Amino acid sequence: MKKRTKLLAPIVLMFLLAGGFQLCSFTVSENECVIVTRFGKHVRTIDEPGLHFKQPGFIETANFLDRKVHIVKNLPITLLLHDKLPIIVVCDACWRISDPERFFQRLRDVRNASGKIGDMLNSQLGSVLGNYDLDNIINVDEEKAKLPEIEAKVASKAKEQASSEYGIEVVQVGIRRLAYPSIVEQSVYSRMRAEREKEAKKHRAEGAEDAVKIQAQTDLEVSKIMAEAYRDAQILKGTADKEAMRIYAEAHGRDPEFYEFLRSLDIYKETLQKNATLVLSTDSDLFRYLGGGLDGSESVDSPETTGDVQRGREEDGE
Amino acid sequence: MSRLLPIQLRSAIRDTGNLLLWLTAVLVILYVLSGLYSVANNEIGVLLRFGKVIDPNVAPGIHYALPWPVDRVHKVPMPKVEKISIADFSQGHAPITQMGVGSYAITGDNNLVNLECVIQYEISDPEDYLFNLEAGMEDVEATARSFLREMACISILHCLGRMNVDDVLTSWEQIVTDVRKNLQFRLDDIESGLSITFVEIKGLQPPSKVQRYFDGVTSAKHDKRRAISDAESYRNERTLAARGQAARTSAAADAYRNETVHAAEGDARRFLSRLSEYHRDREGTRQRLYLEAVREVLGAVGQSYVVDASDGRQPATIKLLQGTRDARDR
Repeated sequence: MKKRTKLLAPIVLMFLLAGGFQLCSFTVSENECVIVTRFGKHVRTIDEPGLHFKQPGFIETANFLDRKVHIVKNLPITLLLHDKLPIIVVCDACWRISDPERFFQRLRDVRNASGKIGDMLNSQLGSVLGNYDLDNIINVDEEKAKLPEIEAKVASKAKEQASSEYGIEVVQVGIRRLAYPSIVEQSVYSRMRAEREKEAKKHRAEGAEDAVKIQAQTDLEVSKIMAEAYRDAQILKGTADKEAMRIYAEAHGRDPEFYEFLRSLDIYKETLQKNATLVLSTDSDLFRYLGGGLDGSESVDSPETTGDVQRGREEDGE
Repeated sequence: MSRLLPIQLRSAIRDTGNLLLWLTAVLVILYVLSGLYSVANNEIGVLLRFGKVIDPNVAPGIHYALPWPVDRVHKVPMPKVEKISIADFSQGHAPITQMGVGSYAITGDNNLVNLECVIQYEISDPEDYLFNLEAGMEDVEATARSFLREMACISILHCLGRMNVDDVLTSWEQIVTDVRKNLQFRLDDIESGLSITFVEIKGLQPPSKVQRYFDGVTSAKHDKRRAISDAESYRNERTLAARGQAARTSAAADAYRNETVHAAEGDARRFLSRLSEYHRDREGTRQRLYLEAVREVLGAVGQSYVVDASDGRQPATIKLLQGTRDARDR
């Protein structure tokens, strides 16, 4: 009988111990910290993961705080830029608890934090963006695109405020969306349209310009080619003429008078053709036997002959 | 106590006690065995003891850990490539709120574009991945994706805000590189344990309202190219024709030279030949040549009149030698 009780007793004891253990211990996991409070009053902070102990549940309470990086997804807000342009901005932030005691004291729970940080971020954003023109936010020139600078400013202001007020470290601030209110959007569209039309016109005009340039260049080249060809041809012909003249002169120089005679005869043959009418004087050498009998001694004078024939040609009825 | 109870009850209590002992023993054994766990080939285990990481890199295989509530094991799929589609800037995306934030990104020269992209990522640090992020999501993966999505949007906004619209629409490579770099930087900054493996742009175009004006620019560029190529073909045609013409002119000049020089040489030779004969009998040759020429001329000429010049008056008598009919007509 006693034996049975002896056997059952340790089991009961074990369960009791386990229950007590459960009440007096807690585990802190990675990236978590615990604020231990006694009747609501802060006693100590445990920042080390592992198994920890406290006085039983109703005396001391373990308040778990998540030290992971949290993200705040803000709602869009409309802000006025320095140049009075309204713009819709969505700004996100990542944060984590840096000072658990202060955080616990001010906010108590992680769930309360997101809204607070979101509001704080938006008000900082409003004051920072009020100093910038749109051109300073977005710009093709990397020097002037100050979006990272704006984020850094908002982040540093938010960091300061969040850490002093809530014990929160703002890890990163990022502007997730930029957009125009619908009225501005319409005007952006029409400006885009105008820009594109201008661009298209510019391309067409450039095309026409280039084409005309090429054509003009072509015409110039063509005239140059032709002129050069003409010049070279004339030079060649000139040399040929010179050569021919030299040959002729060389040959004819032997007896210029005979050449003249032969040449004159050739000219008569060539010029006095079928449709010519010839009036000849009986004085001419040809007819000297016709009128005055034979007189072989009379010399044949070529210039005279030429003159006669020429005269005859002048009287030609043409 | 035992004396008061009937014998049956006593044995029943004894049996229950035995059963309880057995049951407890079995439970204890099962409890101890529950520490066995396996890590699959494509996983990495992270072992925790009372919430503290004691082994962040448990290799695949069968392992033993102390049973609950002492040890816990998280298994992270690795390397596992996941995809997330970012459609916040694309046309079909629903506006964020009733405020109607348009679904577009603004480029550096203040143009609006629609962009849709896919981001591939993997877990590079299981410990960070498990314990660093919190987005109020149901599981670790959803949390990581939530962070990734927000940060991708931020990176895209930053990247496009520095480029002009023409570059945005053409140099996708640069966008991909920039977004990837910026996004990785932001993810590392919060120690997310995520690593971007690939960014792919699925769609990137101007909003449909202005699409056709962008197309207009493209067609204008084509027109420009066509105008230039037309001009170039004109140039080729004209230049080649001119070269042909020039070649012809030059050939003609060459021919002229040959002709002229050869003719001159021929004429000269002929003249010299005749001259040598002429020197042998000047008068006779001269006379003969003259008469031959006269005969030829008179034979060829249509009409000839011979005028008697003895009385010195001209014309005195005209004797028709031939061609009378022609004379009458005249």
